[in-house]
Parts: sequence; structure tokens; C-alpha cells
Amino acid sequence: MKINTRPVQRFTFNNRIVRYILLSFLFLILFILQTVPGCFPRIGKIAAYLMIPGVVSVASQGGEIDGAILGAAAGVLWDSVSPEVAGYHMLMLVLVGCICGLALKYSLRNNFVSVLFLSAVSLVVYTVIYWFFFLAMRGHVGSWVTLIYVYLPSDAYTLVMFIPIYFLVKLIYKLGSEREAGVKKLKYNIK
Amino acid sequence: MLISAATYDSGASGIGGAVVETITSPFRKAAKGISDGVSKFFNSFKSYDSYNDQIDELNDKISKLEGQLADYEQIKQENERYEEYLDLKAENNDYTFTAAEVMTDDSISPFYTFTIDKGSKDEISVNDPVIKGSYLVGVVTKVTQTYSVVTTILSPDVNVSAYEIRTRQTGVVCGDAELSLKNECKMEYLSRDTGISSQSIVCTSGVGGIFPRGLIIGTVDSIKNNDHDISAYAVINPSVDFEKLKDVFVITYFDGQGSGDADED
Repeated sequence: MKINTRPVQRFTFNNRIVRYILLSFLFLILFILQTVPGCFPRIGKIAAYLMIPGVVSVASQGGEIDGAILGAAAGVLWDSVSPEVAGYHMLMLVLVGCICGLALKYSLRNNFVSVLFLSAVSLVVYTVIYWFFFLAMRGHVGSWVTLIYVYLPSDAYTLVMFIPIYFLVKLIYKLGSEREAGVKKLKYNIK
Repeated sequence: MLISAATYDSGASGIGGAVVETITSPFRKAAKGISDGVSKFFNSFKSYDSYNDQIDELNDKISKLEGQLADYEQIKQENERYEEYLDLKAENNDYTFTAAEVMTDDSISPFYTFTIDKGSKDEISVNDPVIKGSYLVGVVTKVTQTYSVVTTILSPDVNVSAYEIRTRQTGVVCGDAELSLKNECKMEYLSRDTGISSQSIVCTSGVGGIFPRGLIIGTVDSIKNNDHDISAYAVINPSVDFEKLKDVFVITYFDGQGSGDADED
């Protein structure tokens, strides 16, 4: 082991905070793309629900805690534009983040294919539950048509967008972990 | 040439003057051409700095004009927008409006639910009608201090008491999950022998105290019989294009607002 003579501890920020700031910024962009008309292409009523793969990607990289925290933040944003019960999207995205994080920790391999699979399942479950509570259970005539012609195609459309989101989240975590490793090395003067 | 010029300048007239002028005219043209060419040649030796200054000046002018054009377009659009409402205001003195812009929409809702940039601090409250010109868009369903959520008439959760203007037949306009895919809604509780025909105009009747009377909802597309009872319904094509909605007006007050609540009480 050699002693490093360079000045130590260049970074004063907590890496976790920096990572959360970057992820919050990412979710803000996803929120804008998802909700501001004209920001992201839509095919008739088929839209991309970008927040859901975002939360699954965070859960895959940061575990269930990060998934739940970012899920809550994304849910609050989504609830702000929704006329439904206050806190519905927040609760659902926290559950998505938590369950996906735990599934990847205990029962699935944490790789691209597993996360893609989890995203697909999350999207279908999310939209089917939404459809069930806010359309089917309210007795709206012909609501199944919405499920088939709007929600399921939207899930497929969203899944295509999962790929860039996943790699962006992965990049943010990679940057954070490299920096963390660098700080540790500098802190203990290890070369 | 000098003689001819002198003769010309002194205003000489008559046949002599005309002859001289005809003879000298090509020379004068040639002289002018040469003089223009020479001055152009010397002008081309202007300094690089002066060209740069000119370019800067012209760029400034262009950016100013572009700014003015953008302002003009914005004012023009605003004028068009306000013109519609002035007509409506002239017809209905009791209406109080608040102009609002569409900010975001709830992509998971198939009924074009959207948010506007005005909230309770602009005196908007839940159940205020939202219009575009004299056409009904929907109703405010959620209000915060700075923004509000609007549910459109395509949603099955919005029920509007309405009438058809030719037959005066009344019914309830509400959304339908299946029809909303084609951006249509329906007018329910019509008798099967209804006289309503396609292209008839449907307006709000004002019953219930949520929507004022006379706002246009849309035109009738077709009449269909209900499968589960003896009534019929009219498929309505709303007059508003929900996909292209950018600005709306919220009616914060009108005579008779909330009268339905009072009846219920």
C-alpha cells in the first residue's frame, strides 16, 4: 500500500443526495414528457406512462428503499394532475417500487431482461387496477373497450420507452458508485 | 455632350432640342452606367469593420422585428380569443369569466382530463363550468391555490342537463367509455319516437345550477336505442376539439349558479 500525497476529500457532497437530485430531475422530465400535451408523441389516446418504468428502473438499481422514495415523489407529481382519489398514484408507485426492488433482491436476477419483464408486469397490473377502480367498478358501459384499445396498447408503447429510461437510471447509479469509490480511496489514502 | 446637357438643363424645347436630346441620350446613359460602375467599384473597398457593423445593425433590426412579429401574433391570438367571449358576455351580462391556459393532461385518463393554470386564488371553485367560445368543455373537479383539474364532457362522471334546440326535447348528456374513443358522448333518456335528427344542435338547459343555459355541447351524430330499457340515446359529436385545446375560460359566476343545491336543500 502506497501513501497518496495528493490532497484528500475533494468531494464535499453526499453522493446519495447528488444521486437523488439527479433522479428527481429525471423524474421531473419524465413527468413533463408524460403530461404536457405535445411534449411526447401520442397515437390517438395511446400514451406512454413513463413514470412506471422509471420507478422500476430505480428499484432495480437502488433497491426497494430508493424505489419507494422515488415512487412516492413521482406519485405526488402524477396525483397533482389527476382528478382521482388524492394519493392514488403515490400509493401505487410506492408499491411498484417496493415490490420490484424486493423481487429483484430475493427472487429474480438483476439484469436487463428481468427488469424489462418486471416493467411489463408492473405496467399491465398498474393500468388494469386503474381501469378496474375508475372505470369498471363505476359501472361505465363499454369500459372493457378502453382496456383493450387504450390501456394495453399504451403499456406496449411505454415498454418501448423503457429501454432509454433504464440505461439513463443505470448511468446515474454508475456515476454515483464510481464517485463513491473514488471518495473512499481518497479518504483512506489508498492507491 | 456639354452642349446637349446645357440645352437640356435650360429646358430648351422645339425640334432642335429634341434632336439633340435623341442624339445625346445614349451617351448620357453610357456615362451614367460608367459612373455607377465606378462608384460601385470604390464602394466595394469598404472596410471589413463597416460590413460587420452593418451586419450587426441588420441582425438587431431582424431580432427586433421578429420580437414585434411574435408580440403581434400573440396579441392577434388573444384578440381572437377575447372576441368570442365578448360576444358571449354581451349576450350574458351575468357571467364572470376567468381566462386560463391548459398546462398538462392526465395521460392515463381516456377522457382528456386536463389541468389549467388558474386556481382558487383566481376565484375558481369546484363545479365551475369550463368553456371554449360558447362551447362547453367540461367542469372543474379539483382546485388548488394555483391550478385546477378539469374533467371534460367525454367523462362518464360528468352529467349535463341538456336540450335539443329544434324539438326542445330534454335529456342528460354524459360520457361513455366506448364512445369516448371516438371523442363522442351521448344524450340519454330520450323517447324512442324522438324527433331529434342528426346534425341537430344540443345545448345546456341550465337545470341543476352547475351549467348556465345555452352553452353549445355539440351536434347529434345518430340516434340509437338503449339495449337495457325502452329509451333511446343520441350520439353527440362535441363542438370542441379536446386534443387541440390550449386556452379556455372558466365561468366563475352566473345567475342561478348552485340553484340545484338550493333545491336539494
